[in-house]
Amino acid sequence: MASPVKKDKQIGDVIIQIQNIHKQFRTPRGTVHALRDVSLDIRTGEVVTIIGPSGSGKSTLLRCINRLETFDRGDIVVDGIPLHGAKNINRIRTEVGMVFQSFNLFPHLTVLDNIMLAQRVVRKRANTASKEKAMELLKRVGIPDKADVHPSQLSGGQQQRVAIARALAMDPKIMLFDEPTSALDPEMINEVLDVMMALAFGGMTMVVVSHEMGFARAASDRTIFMDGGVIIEENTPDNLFDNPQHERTKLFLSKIL
Amino acid sequence: MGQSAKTNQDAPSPVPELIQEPPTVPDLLFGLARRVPWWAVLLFLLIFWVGVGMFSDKNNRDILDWLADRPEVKTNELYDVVYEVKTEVLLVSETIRVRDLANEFTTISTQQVVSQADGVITCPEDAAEGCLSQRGVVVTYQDFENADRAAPDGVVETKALRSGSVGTLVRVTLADGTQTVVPPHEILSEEEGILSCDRVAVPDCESPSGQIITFNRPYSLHQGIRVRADAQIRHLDDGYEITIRPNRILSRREGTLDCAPDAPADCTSIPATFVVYPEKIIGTELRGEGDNDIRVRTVEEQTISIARNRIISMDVGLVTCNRSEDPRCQDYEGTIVSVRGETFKGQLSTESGSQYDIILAGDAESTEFERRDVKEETRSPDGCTATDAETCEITITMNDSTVAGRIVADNDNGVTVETVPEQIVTLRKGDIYSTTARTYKTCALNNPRGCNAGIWLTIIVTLSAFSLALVIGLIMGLCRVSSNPILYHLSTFYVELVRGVPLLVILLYFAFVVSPQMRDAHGIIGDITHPIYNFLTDIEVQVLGNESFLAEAVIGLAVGYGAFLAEVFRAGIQSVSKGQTEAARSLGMSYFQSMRHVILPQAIRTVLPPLGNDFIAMLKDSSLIAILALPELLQQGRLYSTRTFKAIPAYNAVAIFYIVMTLSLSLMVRAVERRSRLP
Ligand SMILES: Nc1ncnc2c1ncn2[C@@H]1O[C@H](COP(=O)(O)OP(=O)(O)O)[C@@H](O)[C@H]1O
Ligand SMILES: [Mg+2]
Repeated sequence: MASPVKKDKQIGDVIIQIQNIHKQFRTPRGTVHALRDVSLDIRTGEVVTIIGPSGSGKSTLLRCINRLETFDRGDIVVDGIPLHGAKNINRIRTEVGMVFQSFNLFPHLTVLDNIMLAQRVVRKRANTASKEKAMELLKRVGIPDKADVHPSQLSGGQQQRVAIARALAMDPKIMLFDEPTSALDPEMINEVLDVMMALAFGGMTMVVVSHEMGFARAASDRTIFMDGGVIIEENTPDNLFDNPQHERTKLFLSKIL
Repeated sequence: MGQSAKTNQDAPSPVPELIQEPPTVPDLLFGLARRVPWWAVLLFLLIFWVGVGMFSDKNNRDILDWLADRPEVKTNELYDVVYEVKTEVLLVSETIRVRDLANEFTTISTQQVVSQADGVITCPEDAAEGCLSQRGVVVTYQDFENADRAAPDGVVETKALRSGSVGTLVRVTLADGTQTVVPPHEILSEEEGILSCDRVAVPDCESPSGQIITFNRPYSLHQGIRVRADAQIRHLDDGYEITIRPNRILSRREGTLDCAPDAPADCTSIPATFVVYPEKIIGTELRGEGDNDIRVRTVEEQTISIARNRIISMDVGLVTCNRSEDPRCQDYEGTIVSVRGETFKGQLSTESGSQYDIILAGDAESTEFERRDVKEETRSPDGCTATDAETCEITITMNDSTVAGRIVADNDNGVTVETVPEQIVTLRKGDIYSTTARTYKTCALNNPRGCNAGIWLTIIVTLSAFSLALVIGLIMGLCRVSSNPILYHLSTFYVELVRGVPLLVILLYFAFVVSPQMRDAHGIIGDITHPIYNFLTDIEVQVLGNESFLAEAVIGLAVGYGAFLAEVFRAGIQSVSKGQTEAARSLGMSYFQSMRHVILPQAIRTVLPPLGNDFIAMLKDSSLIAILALPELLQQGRLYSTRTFKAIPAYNAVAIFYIVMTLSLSLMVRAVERRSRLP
């Protein structure tokens, strides 16, 4: 794991304001109350990690922030824009990058085209400018030599790094990571975490769902424990991992350690 | 995402060179065998064997002409030019068609119309059961012929010429030449005089004189819904009548109809309406056009004797009649003779860039030959010119040509063909409305547009119907995965409806239900034939030369297959994982951007094989349109078989044509699939 020394970061104003949101999924088998009255403020430059058992609503919370999922009550204000009933949702999404557990690269495009596509069609950048940007990002994630291959010819770790580069190409203000390393073979986890760590130290606002405790301790400012659609506990990562306050947190940590 | 963990991601691993030797002959054969499977080879061999066996018999070979629409090249001069010229003619009357409550259609003249306005005709109290009130443009008109003499709705004072009597009734001739009888009590007055003749009908007519009777002419009032207007037009100079669809009329003008110079003294000019419409002049442009006009030589009609040794081939075919002389003439089945160009030999007297003047052997004066009519020339001495007077002998061979018309003599010396007399017409440039190259009906390699029967029509119909079906299928497929409930349910309804009806029924439905409804679309849509109907009819005339069920067939096939393709596209779109949409949307792409750049490109690869199958299926199903009497492959085979009683070669050949096409297509589909596969 890279250096545990936290760089002095500038924590700024609140950029994501989650206010008492509720989310229910109606399924034929019944209604799932995935989020119950969740409130959370995230400031610019802050790195927040979210942990919690499977089905506790972590992904749902993350997906609400860029409205891949709608919510029933409450509101989320991203960069001053309330999401509830927002019309320019595509503009908000360009400010919020997202990295998925299963990479979701576009299999019919080369790595370079994957990173260039949204720049061209959404940001309307010229071909040369978007290509330059893509190459620079590929260098940053350490695979400039893979520009012209298709995603299926890459390892999982490489694919996830391309996915990060693809999201960064839109110059987002916020990056969301939904278990970015849990689909990876163990020896590839670090290459992805290193990229994320560099991003965190570079001052990016990040919300990361991940159970990588090393990353959380080294890079994040706050760790949140969720269970049953509720935020049970939040603290600095060291405090939360070493000195959990709630029974459920203790129980969960004892299982994953 | 099962990605093998073996890949070493950092060290740039040198790929071990597995293929070291160049491919050997067995390698190449193996590759070819994978591209062209054994069954295809076997089928092609079988077809070849059957085909050779069948067509080596000279008697069976004419079937190929039927099915392939005579594809041999005959001459280079296959093109005519069609000029659409603005022509002004006198509008005599406009007729309109109305439909009454009993759904009976009647054609009336606008002069009979008393009133017309949007409204409803309600059934009278004594109406037949099942009578439905109808809305549209309600036309109230005077009906003379069915005037109920017991209780007419009204009378108009009319003048007529006494022409005899029937019992107590008086027979009279009206100004327009029609006759009627008048009961004595309706006669208002009778005196010696002249009945002004119908100058509109006959501009220099002579008004007859005699006993002029003024009488009350009864009429009854009828009502109907206006369905369609046909303008009746009479030509100014030679007096023929034509009917023009109102939507073909370019402009109208109010003017006066003047008397002819030699008209009788009592002739007076009368107000009249003129309309301008496009008239078709078919011919080739002559050299030396002026600034304001061009001269056109119309292609048709004269009597030509052709020596046997100059005849290349003779075929039965459609001969186009001279429309500029008689616009209502009918094309007729005649003989088309391909003629080898004649050879002339003589002294070259003068020569210019566009023509030769040659003194032919035995002639005193020189004859002109257009250079562009000449196929080849030889000179002796070689390369001599007209300045070498008296010494330069030239032999020229004219272009091959076709002569079409009726055979009037056929003997050992040759044939004599009567064609339409050719005319030189001068067209004002300002009047030319459109100019298109029209190809003669001969199907040839340099004239593919002339190929419109048999295999060609099958190909044309399949390609156009499948393209249309792709559009319908893609739109409907997108609606089927749409979250908009209206689009979703409408498209589902379409798919279920169309999939539940046999294709043959759909074809018949479009031909005999939808199409006539459009043709007679009434008041609500407009009082003329539906513009889409006219547009489609114009296309049919372009392709097949006459109105047919071609458009109905193409649309029917497309609508029928659209439902299947919609399901193919739906399945293709749904086969792309949800994560792809989410990734695209999370990057800020709109719904359509993510469809266009991410989902559809992946879906297309999945749907290519089923699309290919449906294309082949449609090629085969295009044979169903034979029921609409379109001369496609099967229909031509059937016609041949019923006319010649040679069923075996007919259906063998049809089957061979189909299987060669489908087999080639299926090999092509496999190749496309292979190329579009992702690494
Ligand atoms: N699209 C969906 N439809 C129905 N239920 C869902 C859907 N997405 C999530 N859920 C339910 O919501 C709850 C929270 O899910 P999620 O946020 O994915 O949990 P986590 O990411 O913490 O594992 C779970 O019970 C899950 O079954
Ligand atoms: Mg999750």
